[in-house]
Amino acid sequence: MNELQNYYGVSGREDSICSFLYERLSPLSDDTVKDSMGNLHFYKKGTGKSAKKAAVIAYMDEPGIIVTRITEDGYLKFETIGHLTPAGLISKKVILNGIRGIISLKAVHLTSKQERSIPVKLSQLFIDIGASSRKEAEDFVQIGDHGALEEDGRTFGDGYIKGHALGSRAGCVIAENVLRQRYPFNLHVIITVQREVGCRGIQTASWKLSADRVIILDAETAQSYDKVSEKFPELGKGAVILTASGSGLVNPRLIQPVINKAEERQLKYQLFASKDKGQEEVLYQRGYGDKTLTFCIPVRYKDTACQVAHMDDIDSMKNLTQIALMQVVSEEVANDTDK
Amino acid sequence: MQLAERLKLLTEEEGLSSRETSAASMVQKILKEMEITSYIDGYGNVHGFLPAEEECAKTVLLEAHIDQIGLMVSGIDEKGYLKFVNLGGVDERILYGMEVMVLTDPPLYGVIGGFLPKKKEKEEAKNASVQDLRIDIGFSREESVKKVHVGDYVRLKGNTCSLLGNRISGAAMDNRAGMVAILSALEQTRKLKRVYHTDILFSTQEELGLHGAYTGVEADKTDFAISVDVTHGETPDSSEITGVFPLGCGAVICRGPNFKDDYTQQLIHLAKEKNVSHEIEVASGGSGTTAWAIQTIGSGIPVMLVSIPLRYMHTNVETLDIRDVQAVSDLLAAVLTGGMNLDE
Repeated sequence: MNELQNYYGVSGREDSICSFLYERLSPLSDDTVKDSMGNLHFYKKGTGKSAKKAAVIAYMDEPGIIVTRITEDGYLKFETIGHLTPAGLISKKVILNGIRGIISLKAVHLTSKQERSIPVKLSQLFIDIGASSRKEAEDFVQIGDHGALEEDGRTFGDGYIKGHALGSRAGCVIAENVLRQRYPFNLHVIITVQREVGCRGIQTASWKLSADRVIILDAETAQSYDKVSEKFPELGKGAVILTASGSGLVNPRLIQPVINKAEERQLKYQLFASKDKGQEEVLYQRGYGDKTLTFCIPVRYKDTACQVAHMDDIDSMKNLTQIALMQVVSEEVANDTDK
Repeated sequence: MQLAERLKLLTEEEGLSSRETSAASMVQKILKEMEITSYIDGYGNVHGFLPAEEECAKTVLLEAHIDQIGLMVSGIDEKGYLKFVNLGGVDERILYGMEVMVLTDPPLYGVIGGFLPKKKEKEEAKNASVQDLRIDIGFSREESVKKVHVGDYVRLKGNTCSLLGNRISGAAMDNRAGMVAILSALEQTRKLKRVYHTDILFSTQEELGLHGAYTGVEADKTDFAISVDVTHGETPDSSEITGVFPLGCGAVICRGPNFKDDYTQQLIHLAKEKNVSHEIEVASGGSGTTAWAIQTIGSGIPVMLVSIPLRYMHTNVETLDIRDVQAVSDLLAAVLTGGMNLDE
C-alpha cells in the first residue's frame, strides 16, 4: 500500500499509476489490454475445469486539481477534479508537471473575524508555484494541466494507514493478489480510470464484459469521532459488504454465501446499506444487477487527500474477494447436482 | 554554508514555543562552527557573543525569536481521538486534513480530520475551529491514554521545499529565516573589522507573548538593538491591504513609536548607500514583534526592526524569497562594520 502512494493518477491523467500497474500486473496475466479510455484489462485463463467467467473491478484514479487560469502575477487558479472539500486543500502541496505548488490564501492575520468564520470557497484559493509573472509560470504550466495533491503514505497507530486515494489503491493491491492465482474459471480483472468524475471508465470497460459474477472493489465513508458520521461503518471491523447502494439492492443470494463462509472462517466483515452510487450502477445498467457484489474498505476523511484506512479491512476485503470468487465454482457444482 | 541550505536545516528542526531545545541546540552548533561562544539560559534563550576589536566599543544586540507555532493536546475523547488547543496562533483554516506529529517519546504520527460542521437550515455555515477537530492517532482510548498525555506538544508536518525562482516554502520560516539572516551577517563580517561588540539573542516563546525577549535581554550592556522577524508577503488577495510586501523586495525596515526613529532613518540611509534593496513598513502602535518587548526593558533600549516578507504566515507552508534573507543579512553586516552613527 505504501509503495502505491508514490504514484499519482488524477482522473483523466492516470499515466503514472497506470504504467506502474501495467508493468506490475501484466506478467501475472495471460493477456493485458489498455482500452481507449485508459482502463486496464487483465485476462487470466481458467484451468478449464469450469466454464464460468468472473470479473473483478477496481479503479486507479483519484481526485486532484485542474488549472483554469494563470494570473498576471504568476499564480494558478484551479478547480477540483472529483470531490475534494476546499477546507482540506488549504496549505496543501500540489505536484504539477514535476514542479511543486502551494495551495493557499492570504495570511490569517490579514483577515477579519467575520471572514474567518465563513468556510473558505474554492474561488478564494490559488496555487503559488513561486513564479513572479504569467510569463514565468507559462514556461512550466499550461491551462488544463492536472495536479495531484502530494501526500506521503504511512502506517501509524494500531494497524492504520494514511495517504491519498486509499480506496483506489486497496483495490489495486487486491487485484494483484487475485491475479497471482489461477482459478478453475476464466478471470477478467479490470482497473478503471475516471471513477471519481462520474464512473466514466467503467462505461467503456464493461461494454463487452461477459461474466457470471462481478465483484466491485470500492471505498465507503467511515465513522470518525463526531456524531454526523456515526451511521457509517467503523475502521478495523472488516471490509464492508454492501447490501444496497444508491443504484439499488444487492442480490441477497450472492451475499449470504459470502457471509456464511466468512462466519465459518471467523473473518471480519461489516454489512452496510449505502446511499451513494458507485461503479455498480453501470453494471446494473448492463444487466449484471443480480450478479454484482460490492466490497468496500471504510475510509476516513474521504473528502481530503489525507485519508485514513485500516490494514485489517484491506486484508478482510482480500479474503472476501477470494471467497466470492470460489463461490462461483461451488455454485456450479451445486447447479450440476440439481440437474 | 549556503543560505537556502541552512534555512532548510533550521526550519526542519523542531522548536515549538516553550519547547525550543532541539532548534536551540542546532543553532548553538552553528555558532560553535563559527567559533562564537554561546550558552542557553534558564528560559531556553540562546545567547552568543562576538567581541569587537576595541574593548571600549559599544554593544549591539541582534535578536530573532527561535520558536514556532504548533498545537497542544488538551484531552483524549472516549474514542481515543485527541482534542487540542492552539499553541501560538496557528491558522486554524489549514488544519482539516493535515498530518501532524504528536511529540511523545517516541513521537506518534496523526491526522487531523473530522466532519466539517454541517450547515443547518437558517444557520450560517461555519468554519471548522480547533474545538470541532480532533487528532486521529489510530489508537483506541485505552492505548491513547497510555501513550499520550494532556499537555503533549503537536507539530504540524511540513518539509521545506523549493518552488520556482528563489522561493522556498516550509514550516517555521517564522522566524528561522530571521535567525538565518543574523547567522549569515555574522559569517559575512567574521573576518572584517567590526566596530561593535555583538550580542546575539535567539529568544524563546515569542508566539506566546514575547516572553523570551523580556527575560533574555540584558539592558545594562546593550547600547542598541535590532530585531529581525518576518512581515507579511503580498498575495493576490492581499495586495489592497497596506503592510504587505512583495517577495523579493528586500529588507523591510519598520518605522513607528516602537522604534528609535533617528536610528531607523540611519538604517534606511545605510540600505540606500550600500545598495541593499529595501522597503519601509509602518507600525502605528505595537509592532507585534520582540522589538516591542526590547524597547522598554530595564531603562530602555533603542531598538530597530528589520523584517523578511513571508507569505502564508502561521501555516506549515510559509513561503519566502531567499534574496530577502540575503538583503537583511547584508544590511546587518553593514551595521556591524560601522554604518551607524550612535552619537548623532
